[in-house]
Amino acid sequence: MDKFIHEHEIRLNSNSIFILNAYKNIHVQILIEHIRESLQYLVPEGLLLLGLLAVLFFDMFSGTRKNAYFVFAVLVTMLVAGFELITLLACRCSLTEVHFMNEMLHQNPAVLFSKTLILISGIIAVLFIQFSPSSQWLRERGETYILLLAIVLGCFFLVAAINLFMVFLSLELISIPSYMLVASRLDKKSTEAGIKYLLYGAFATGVMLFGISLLYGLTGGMDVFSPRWIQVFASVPVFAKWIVLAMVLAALFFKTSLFPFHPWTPDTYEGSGWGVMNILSTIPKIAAFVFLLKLSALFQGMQTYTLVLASVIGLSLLVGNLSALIQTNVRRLMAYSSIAQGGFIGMAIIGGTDLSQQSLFFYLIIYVFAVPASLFILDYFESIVKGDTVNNFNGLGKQEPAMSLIFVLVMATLIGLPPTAGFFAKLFVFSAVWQQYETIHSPMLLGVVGVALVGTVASVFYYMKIPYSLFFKGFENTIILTSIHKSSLVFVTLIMLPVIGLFFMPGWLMDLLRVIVAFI
Amino acid sequence: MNAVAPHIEIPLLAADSISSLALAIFFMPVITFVILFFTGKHIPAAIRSWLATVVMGVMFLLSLYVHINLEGSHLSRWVWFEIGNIKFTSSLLLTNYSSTMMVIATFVSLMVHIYSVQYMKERRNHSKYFPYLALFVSSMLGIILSDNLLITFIFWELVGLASFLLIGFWYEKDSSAAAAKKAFLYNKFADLAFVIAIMILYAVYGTTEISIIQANTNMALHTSLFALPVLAGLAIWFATVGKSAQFPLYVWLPDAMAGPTPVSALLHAATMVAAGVFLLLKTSFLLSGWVGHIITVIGCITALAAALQAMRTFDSKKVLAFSTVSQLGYMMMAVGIGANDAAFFHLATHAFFKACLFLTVGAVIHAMHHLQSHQFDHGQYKVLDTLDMRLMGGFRKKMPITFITYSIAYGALIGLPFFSGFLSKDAILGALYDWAVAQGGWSWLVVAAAFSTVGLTAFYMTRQLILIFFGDFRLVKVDASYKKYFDHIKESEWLINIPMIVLGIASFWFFFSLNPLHAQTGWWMHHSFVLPHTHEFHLFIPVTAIAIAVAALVIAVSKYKSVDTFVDTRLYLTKLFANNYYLEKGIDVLFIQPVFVLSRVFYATDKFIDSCIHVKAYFFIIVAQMADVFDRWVVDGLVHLMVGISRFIGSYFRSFLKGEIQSYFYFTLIAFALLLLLLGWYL
Repeated sequence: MDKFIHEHEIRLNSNSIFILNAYKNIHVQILIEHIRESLQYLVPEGLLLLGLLAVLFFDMFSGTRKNAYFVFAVLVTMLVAGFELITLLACRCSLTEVHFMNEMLHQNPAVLFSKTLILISGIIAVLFIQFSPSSQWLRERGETYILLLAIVLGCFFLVAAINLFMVFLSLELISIPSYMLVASRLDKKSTEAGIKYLLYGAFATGVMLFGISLLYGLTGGMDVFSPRWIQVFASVPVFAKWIVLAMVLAALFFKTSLFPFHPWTPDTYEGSGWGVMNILSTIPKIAAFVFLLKLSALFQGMQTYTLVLASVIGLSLLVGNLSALIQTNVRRLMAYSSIAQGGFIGMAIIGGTDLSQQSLFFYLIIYVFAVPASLFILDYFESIVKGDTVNNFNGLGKQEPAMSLIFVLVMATLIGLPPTAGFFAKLFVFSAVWQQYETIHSPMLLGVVGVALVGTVASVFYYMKIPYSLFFKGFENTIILTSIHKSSLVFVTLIMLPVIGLFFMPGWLMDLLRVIVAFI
Repeated sequence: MNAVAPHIEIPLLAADSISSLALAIFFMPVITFVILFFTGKHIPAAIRSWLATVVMGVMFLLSLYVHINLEGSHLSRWVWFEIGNIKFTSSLLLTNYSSTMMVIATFVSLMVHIYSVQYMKERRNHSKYFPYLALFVSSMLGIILSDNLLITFIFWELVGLASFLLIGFWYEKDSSAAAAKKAFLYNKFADLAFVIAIMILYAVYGTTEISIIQANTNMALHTSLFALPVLAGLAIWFATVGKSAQFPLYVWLPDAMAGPTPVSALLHAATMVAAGVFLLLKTSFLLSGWVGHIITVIGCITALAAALQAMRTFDSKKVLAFSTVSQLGYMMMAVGIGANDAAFFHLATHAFFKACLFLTVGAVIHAMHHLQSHQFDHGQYKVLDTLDMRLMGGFRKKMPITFITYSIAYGALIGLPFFSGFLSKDAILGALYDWAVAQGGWSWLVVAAAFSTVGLTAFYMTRQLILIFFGDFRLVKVDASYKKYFDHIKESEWLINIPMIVLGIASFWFFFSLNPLHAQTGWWMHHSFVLPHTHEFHLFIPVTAIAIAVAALVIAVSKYKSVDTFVDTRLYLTKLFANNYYLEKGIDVLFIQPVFVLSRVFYATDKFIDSCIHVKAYFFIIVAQMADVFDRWVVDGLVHLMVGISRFIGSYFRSFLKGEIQSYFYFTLIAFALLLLLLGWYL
């Protein structure tokens, strides 16, 4: 706050020291009033905070330190928050762009929609933890839910942030609980993964901070979405512009595990449990991508930004897809494939047009459902065969036909094959990039499309590797199968329903998204 | 020749009672065949053999009844099947010829059956033996009774099939299988001529009824030297060249000895080889002058050549086989000069004494087999050619009955007086003499050959008699271990002896004619046989024949009397004879090789055409291959290339990230810096 006042002191051009003190008092009052007014836009975040505190409260006493209480508290707050968000979305009063918290955050239907998506993802993550066979340790602790809620909260702030300072803060709010979650199993592997994640995250954040400081030096402000800042930034020399911009983007690349900030992904994913892996690969990524989309919209038509993004995404596609090809461990396979998925999602944000924004949201919606489904089924299979290499799943298709069949659908979604909405997701993404290419005719974009095509071919190979061994290899496992969890099947089926359903009516969602992205 | 065959009315004739009886006789072995073939091993061997034998006995008695009660010829004809307006008829002709032949066939078959009951006992594949015999006999009866060439041809082929089955009866022996195949193929080749003959006759007369053709043929014969009926006669004769083993197709017959000995007896006496002569006798009206000459000359050559070969053969059965060929040559000579009665008479007498000879030699071979199996029972097995006369000798004392019956048949074969063979041979020689007198010129050569064959016959038969029955047992000289078994050799069982004795008795003169020197007073064959006035009785002919025979006999005795060591002879002739005068080679060079050459030429032509087509095909294949290569390497390859490159790059990136956080930093920093620099340069 001191800093804030200091800034305003300079900006307001205090004529005399006399006036200064009086102004200070008035200004503080104005500020407090402003904050109090801003709080009305932070109801969902407040609810989540309430839930967080409730879980913390339950966790304090051994009598209430029960998973049921935690889940109840978390789900209730999430559902109430979700209800609040949807009410806001439906309300005409939210149609206008609102900046609050002194130009730190803003609210519009796009942000609300993103928050809703994040919340849905959070609910799925909670349910995932409930049904996941390997997440007993997560269920036992209240910290899990506290950290999860913190991440969701951070994501809420990230998608709403319009100031780089806020971006930094919300990213840290996401990152620090994430480190803790990864390490929360407290065994060697998990700790190692957590430490690696932490170190790498610190590194990325450091780069970002360096970039932000340079940017601040260049433009004299961090309010990147204000017209003034854009004007100033436009006058910055090109060379400085893109280096600084790239450095600022580093933390976002880290969160979305895009090249070259991806190396942490396999190790961290492998070390963390399936439940944590699900959280890491969905919630923060959604937020980071939405923020990148906002930046894209901001820098629309700015070649520097586009090229940086295009090269990063092209290389991510390359690295992710190609590395996934040679994986035999399903966790690492999914980790690399999530890099590749990041690349595919990223393709949508290269262009800042409406179509690319729509396709990004479309892809994210599919992603929110398909990735937990895939991870959950793998978790389920792993718990049956007690092994996480692809060969361990040989012939399991005959033992678990329903689950395997759904798994094939999930894989088809991730590859982008009909009859799943993944097909349309990929289609829209490709057409978005192509549209962008037709506008600026950059060979880089052509390269991205080419790499994406190669990556899609490769993705067929590595994604279908597991269904192949499920159905076409002989069952060689001698371990007696554990009891079938009907609830697991129901959970997976339910989260795959939207994916299948959207295949038949993608137009409906696209129309809805067109309305929403108009406010970005 | 008219395009449309002349319409000849074919009257249908109902069968009278005696024809029906003959038909019943024909069908009896068919039923035996069906029963025995399909029951197979399900009924005991003894019942099998005796059932067939009893049926054969009944057949013989019925045939005898038919023969005795037959007056004139009985023809019955009925429609076999119709195609549109064309009626195919089937007919049965019962004459003295056919009834006599039936008696001979059934009698010899009965003897062979009785003999086989003992001889084939506990032999391998026993269950198939009697059905095959029944098939053989019934097919032969079919040939005898049928008056239709088409029907005859069917039975002709069935005889061929049955002989194939019986010659190759021990088919697991390579020589047996080869002999059966040889007999079958030689016969099939000759049978083509039969088909040609049937086609010619059907084209000319519109029917294959022999009696109708006979009624219509007399005028046609004299119109032209190469009239179609004449050629048909030639073709029928050529068919018999195969079946009745004439030069140059007789080579299958010696090999056919690979079958069981009773089968050989049947084959040589009453069924197979007789079928040819009998068919020729039936269709003799087709044989005009020059065809007859050919038949005579070929018969003469056959008689002489086979007799010469018999002189050098050591295989006891093959000697008899060559003698059969030689005697068939006699019969053919008689047929050629038109002395059908003489030919048929010789066929009849020959059937008995040749069957007898085979059965007696078979008994000896049986004894030799026992030697071998005794040795086998004592834990030794030696390959022993039980047919080789060089290893025999001295059986006279061991097997007196066999010896005596053999001697009787031997006397009949070489044509000694008081034996049946004398009568028939005299008839043929007399007919030949008359013919030569009428013909003059080269025909005397035929007569000379016929007389010298008498001498040769006497020589080789005496040789066989001495080698088998006189002297010491020569096998012992080769292998002393047989000595003790030879001492145990005794006369065969009565089931073997009785047929031999009966056939031996039938080889005496009185069985055919009460006059031992002339056949004019034949009693049971009186109707079918020589009328007295057909040729005059020439005393010098039997005298000369006997003189020659006795001279040859004396020479043979003097030559082989003291031979107790191996009988080895001049190799050139032996080799020549052993190779059937290189007839097979000749056939090979003259017919088979040219065909091969021709086929090679055709093949080359085809090959050329093929290669032209292939070039076209290859063109398309190349195009297809190119498309395939394109598909595989370019289309598929692109996908695989992408995956492969991807894999490589992936592993390259992965190799950076071995789990060290420091290296991650380096990687990220360097990559990020490079990326930014590159972009800066690009911008």
